[in-house]
Amino acid sequence: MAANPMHQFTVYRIGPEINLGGVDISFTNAGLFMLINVFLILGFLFSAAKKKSIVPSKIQILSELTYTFVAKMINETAGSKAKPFFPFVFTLFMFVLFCNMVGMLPYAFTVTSHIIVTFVLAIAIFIGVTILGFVKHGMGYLKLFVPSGVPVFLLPIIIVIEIISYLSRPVSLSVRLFANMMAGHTMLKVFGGFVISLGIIGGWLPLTFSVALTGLEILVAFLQAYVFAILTCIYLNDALNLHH
Amino acid sequence: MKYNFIFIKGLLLVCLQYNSGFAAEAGMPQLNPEFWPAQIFWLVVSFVFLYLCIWKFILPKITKNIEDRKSIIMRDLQDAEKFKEETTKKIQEYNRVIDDAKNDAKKIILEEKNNLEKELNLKKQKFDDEIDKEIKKVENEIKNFQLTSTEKVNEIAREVVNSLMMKIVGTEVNESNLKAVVESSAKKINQKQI
Repeated sequence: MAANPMHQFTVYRIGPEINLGGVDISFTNAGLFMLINVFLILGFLFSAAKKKSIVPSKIQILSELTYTFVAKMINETAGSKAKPFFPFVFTLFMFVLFCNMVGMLPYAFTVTSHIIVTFVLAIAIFIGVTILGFVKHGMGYLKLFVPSGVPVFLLPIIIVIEIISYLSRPVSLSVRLFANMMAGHTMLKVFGGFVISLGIIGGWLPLTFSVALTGLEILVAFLQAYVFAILTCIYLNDALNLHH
Repeated sequence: MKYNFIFIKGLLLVCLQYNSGFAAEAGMPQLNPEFWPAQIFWLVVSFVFLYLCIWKFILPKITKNIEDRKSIIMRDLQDAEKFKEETTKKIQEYNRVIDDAKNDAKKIILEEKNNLEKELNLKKQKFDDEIDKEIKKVENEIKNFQLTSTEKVNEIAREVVNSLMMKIVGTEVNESNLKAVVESSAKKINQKQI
């Protein structure tokens, strides 16, 4: 049913069923698009990195722009201590950005519109940052939950609130990206469906909306990748430079 | 009217189909855990692969490219600054050489002018002297000529008088008398002329 706006998110198996210790890890359309994105990113970056010219080519400028953009972002939010994590944040940003952007192409699958994908990314970041915090500061990392300058009688409540907000980080991080992607694509599909159902006479209005929404969705695709990366930087900053 | 009716009917049909389709596959495929392990597995595989490639191969190259470019541009800028300084120095030197040459030329011109003037004066002096000498010589010659010419004129006059007297009177006049008469008359003529 092409008209079902949720149909685009269906995951289906491509090729034979693969079982690993009783777990189904078959290759799916989601997996296919993850690999397509990875190869697109690698193709883009390799073609930019292979040449060594003083005056960069267009693609080189683009890749260097992305590089400096992420470098600046990580440096401004997490400081110079976060430099070893630059490759990770860069990879994360590129992966989410390409997943979002490729999803905007007709008939393409949006990898980041699945909660499981965004959640795995977010929980990995959360666990990694927590381990990093404890390795860097030992038990002192728990001071993160005790903001300075808070009256003592408020502390029990504040600590609970802080712990809940800390634990909800992976949820908020993953749900934000997933919900944005899913909502945007659903809306596009619904308006696309209206164009078909209203036909050549009434279809122009939803078509106009569709065009405007596509522009908005491209913006959202970039923005969500940026937000995902910058929140990772902020969490890294908490772990590296304990401020509370 | 008929066409309009058919259109509305068609529209309704499409809407119905749309709604029935929506109803059939209601719900979010994202919440179906059937392919969660597969998605997690391929996500981990692709992300780790991408991370390793970027970390090991791509970022060092891009970093090197950017740093190389920065250092080359810095070097070029420094070179340009150096060349600029050299150019300024050369221009100053050039101006100095030109000024020196101008001064030298002026000096040489002045010297030559003086030399020429001196030489000219010398030659003029010499020429003037020569002219004076010549004038004096000519004056002397004229004087001599004047002296000798009166004597000759007197002699001619005497001879003429003598021969006239011979023809008129038939006698020869005394030489000394003749001389005295001719000289006195010559003197008179001279005085009249003066």
